[in-house]
Amino acid sequence: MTFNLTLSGSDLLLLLPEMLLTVWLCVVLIVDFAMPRLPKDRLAYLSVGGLAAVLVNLLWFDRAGVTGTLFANMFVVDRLAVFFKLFIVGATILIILVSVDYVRRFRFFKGEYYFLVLMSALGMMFMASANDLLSVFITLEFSTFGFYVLVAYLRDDVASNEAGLKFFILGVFAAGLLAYGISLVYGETGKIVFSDIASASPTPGLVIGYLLIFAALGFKIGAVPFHSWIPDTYHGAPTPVTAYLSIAPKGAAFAILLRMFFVSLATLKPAWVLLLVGASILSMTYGNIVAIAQRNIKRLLAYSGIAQIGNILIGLAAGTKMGGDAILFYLLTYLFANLGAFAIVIAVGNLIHSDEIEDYNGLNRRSPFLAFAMLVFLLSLAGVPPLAGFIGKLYIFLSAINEGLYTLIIVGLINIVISMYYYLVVVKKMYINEPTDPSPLTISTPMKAVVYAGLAGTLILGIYPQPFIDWVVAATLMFSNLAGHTAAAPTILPFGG
Amino acid sequence: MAHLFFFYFAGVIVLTSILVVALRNPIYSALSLLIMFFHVAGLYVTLHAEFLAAVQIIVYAGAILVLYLFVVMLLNLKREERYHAQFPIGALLGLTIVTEVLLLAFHGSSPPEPAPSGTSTPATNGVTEVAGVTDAVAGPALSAVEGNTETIGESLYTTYLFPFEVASLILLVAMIGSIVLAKKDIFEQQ
Repeated sequence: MTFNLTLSGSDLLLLLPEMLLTVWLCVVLIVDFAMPRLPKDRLAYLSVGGLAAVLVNLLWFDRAGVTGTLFANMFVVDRLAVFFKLFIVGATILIILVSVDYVRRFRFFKGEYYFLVLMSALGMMFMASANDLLSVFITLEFSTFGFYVLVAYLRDDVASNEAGLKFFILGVFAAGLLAYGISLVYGETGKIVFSDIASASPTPGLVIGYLLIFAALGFKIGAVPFHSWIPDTYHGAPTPVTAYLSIAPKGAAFAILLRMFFVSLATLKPAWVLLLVGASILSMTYGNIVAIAQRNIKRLLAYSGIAQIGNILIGLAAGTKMGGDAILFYLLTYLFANLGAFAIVIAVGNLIHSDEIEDYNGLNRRSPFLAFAMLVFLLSLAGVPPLAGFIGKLYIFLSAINEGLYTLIIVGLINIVISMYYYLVVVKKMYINEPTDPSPLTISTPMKAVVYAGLAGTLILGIYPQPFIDWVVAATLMFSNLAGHTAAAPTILPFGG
Repeated sequence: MAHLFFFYFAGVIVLTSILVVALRNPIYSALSLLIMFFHVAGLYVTLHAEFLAAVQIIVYAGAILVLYLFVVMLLNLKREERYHAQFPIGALLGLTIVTEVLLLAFHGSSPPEPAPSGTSTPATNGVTEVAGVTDAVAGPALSAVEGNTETIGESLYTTYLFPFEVASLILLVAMIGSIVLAKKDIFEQQ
């Protein structure tokens, strides 16, 4: 029997970020176990140190343009994958920093929390590189497994247990849909690599298969009508986990959605534009309208997250390279604004032990810094001009205008107005209402660092977006031969293959 | 003929899957699940995937046994729901199976009986015999000279190394996660 697995040193180099992180999370686990007297905060900084090394490694990949494929096209490292990995690692660093105070409140398993966060990050990094249906399935499940545990982490809290159970049951159901869809696509084409299935003709089995895969990925990103798990899960989960769940898995799932729609399904674009337009309109409208009625800030951000996903789907519906650029840029702006807003929620939650919007009354009197930062993040989420969210929305709407999706634009603009209302209600409570308890609030250093990072990102992306636009344009070069409307796109070859 | 087998297996799978959900007694549910797994293994045999069939039976039959025990232990069934007066039949069947196992154990070197060989031998006997069994069952349909098990093993460690390794990481998460979520005496320690 012969084994012909040829993995050279340069091949393994492509896996370096993932291998670094794998080694590092084992180190974190062993240190946690071997030094029980070590304060658990140190583990957070240890994890951040490892993630920083991975970040540097990925930045080097990005600058040097390291690309390639491994394992018969299953694992791909291209500019898009590197972008999403940087996105995920960056988000994970910020999440670990905002978790430090919160984890102190846990009564047990403080060290394992950081391990599980790192594990989920590793899974999502693999997702960004998944280039065939089999690795999509296995990496998606991998990243979700960590979240199943993290969501139910507060074992003596009923809401957290309920959130974990709901997330688990619906997540497993989505995994079943994904596996069924993949088996149908594989049965119809006999291939699993995205670029190989591109030439398949749309038989009924293939269409059903893709719809099932889209449903499973729609579950991951929380687009209507696959959003039913979002409010309760976001509400019950530990707040840092909610923050993580609201940004990182969505980014990783968009890496897969982009590869699927823009590579495998490029030639069938007329068939799926309507599907995405529908999902986008439903997500925006439903998310924004239901958000108005919310009394809890975590639920408010959950529904606003559904609406934001609707905005991002506009870029996917545009189906051009520019749409892809806009998605990447929007995700960046969303990362800073959403994570920043959640950082404030975590900070306030740690201090006053409440997530009700009523308790944000007079926040400006109690901590002008927190109130101002929240104002900036909410305005960026709403898309107010000097901030990052405005450029993101502008970019994504322009990509849709180029494709003539005017209905979508009109619905999107109406939704911006609706969203402005409930964001500003929070602002009004913070600045105009009188606080019930006027004692000042102070926040810890790591939390402050995250809020400053969020502010910096939101302002820089809004005022001087050019370098970042250049970056996302370079990251989606693999989609550059996607034609605009009317003309049919030719078969796409994987970048750097 | 192949169609006949497929529809038989598929029909039983659908039927028993419904029974798993619909039956009131959890023990019967577990048993229907077991029957369902056996028929899935049967489907694998008709597809000439003997290794998968064997794994299906070994892994899931074991898992079902554990599930069965858990049902009996945890769900506090009423006494009359647990057992019926079937002790003589059970004893007879058990005795037959024990005799069979003993016979197999002491005459293991002789060629296996024809009836269940397709499913059970690849896992119990050496690699060399697998090729012979495969040819006997599959006939000319299987062009590969190598056995089913070898082919799966080789592609698992070469072409599909990446998902295989990721699966090992999934097991690590599942292990840690189950400890975090289910370790029992943690509340008393605090």
